[in-house]
Amino acid sequence: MDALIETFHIDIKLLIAQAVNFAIVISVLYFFILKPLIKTMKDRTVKIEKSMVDAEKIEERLKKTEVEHKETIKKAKKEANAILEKAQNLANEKKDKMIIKAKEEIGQIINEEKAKVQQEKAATLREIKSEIAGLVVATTERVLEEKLDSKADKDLIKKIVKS
Amino acid sequence: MDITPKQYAAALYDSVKEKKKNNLKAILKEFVKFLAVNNDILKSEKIILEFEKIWNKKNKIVEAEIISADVLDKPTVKLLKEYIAKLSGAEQVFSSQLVEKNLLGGVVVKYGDKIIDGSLKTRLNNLKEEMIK
Repeated sequence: MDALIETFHIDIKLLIAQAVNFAIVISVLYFFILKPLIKTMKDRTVKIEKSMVDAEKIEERLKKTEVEHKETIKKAKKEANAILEKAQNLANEKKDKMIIKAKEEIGQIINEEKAKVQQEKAATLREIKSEIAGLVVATTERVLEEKLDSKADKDLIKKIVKS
Repeated sequence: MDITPKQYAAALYDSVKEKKKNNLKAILKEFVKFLAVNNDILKSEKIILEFEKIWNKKNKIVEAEIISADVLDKPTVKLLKEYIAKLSGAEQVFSSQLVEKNLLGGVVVKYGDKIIDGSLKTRLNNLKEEMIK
């Protein structure tokens, strides 16, 4: 041991002093740098972990929100489709009603026109009949005035009395 | 109270129905006085008409108007009178004749409130109506 000390010129006292210095330096380093550093590191780790958890939560929430959003959109689409379908049905119903009404109106107009035509036809026919009847009666009257003598008139009166 | 011409006529008929001709003048004089007292002289025309109706009804008399296109001979008028008597149930028929050329032929008989139209004019008009129908 002494030989080793002699060979390397080791000064025990200096070594101890250096060891104390080293210990002091180590202590100083430990308490003032390493410990706060470790604490800071731990805090950061906790923060990072918390952040990661939060991020996961956020991501999860985001996913959930996305699903909800999708569902909402799906629901909205469904409702929009239902409204559209309803509107379409209403429009179709209205259209059908309008078509039926239009058909009825057309039918009514046709019937009215038919009735009008028939009335006109009947009036014309009546007029023609009246004209013909007037002519027949006028001709008969003329013939009777010329041909009916007192004997025929007397026979006619006898016939009236006997009937 | 207002007395109607019909009531006057009925009363007059009751007064004269079984009286002799000699008494009629006096009865009529009284009747006219009665009308004057009642201020009903203006009703006399209607009273006469009503009286005629009652008289004819009670004595089974019918007044008829015969309208023809030409003047009718006596046998035809007689035939028509018999016809009217048969229809009305009257014993006597007093007829007046009227000529209306536009009847063309046949005859129209009016008695009481009845009209028997057998004229050719009406027949032709009926024919015309039938043809128009």
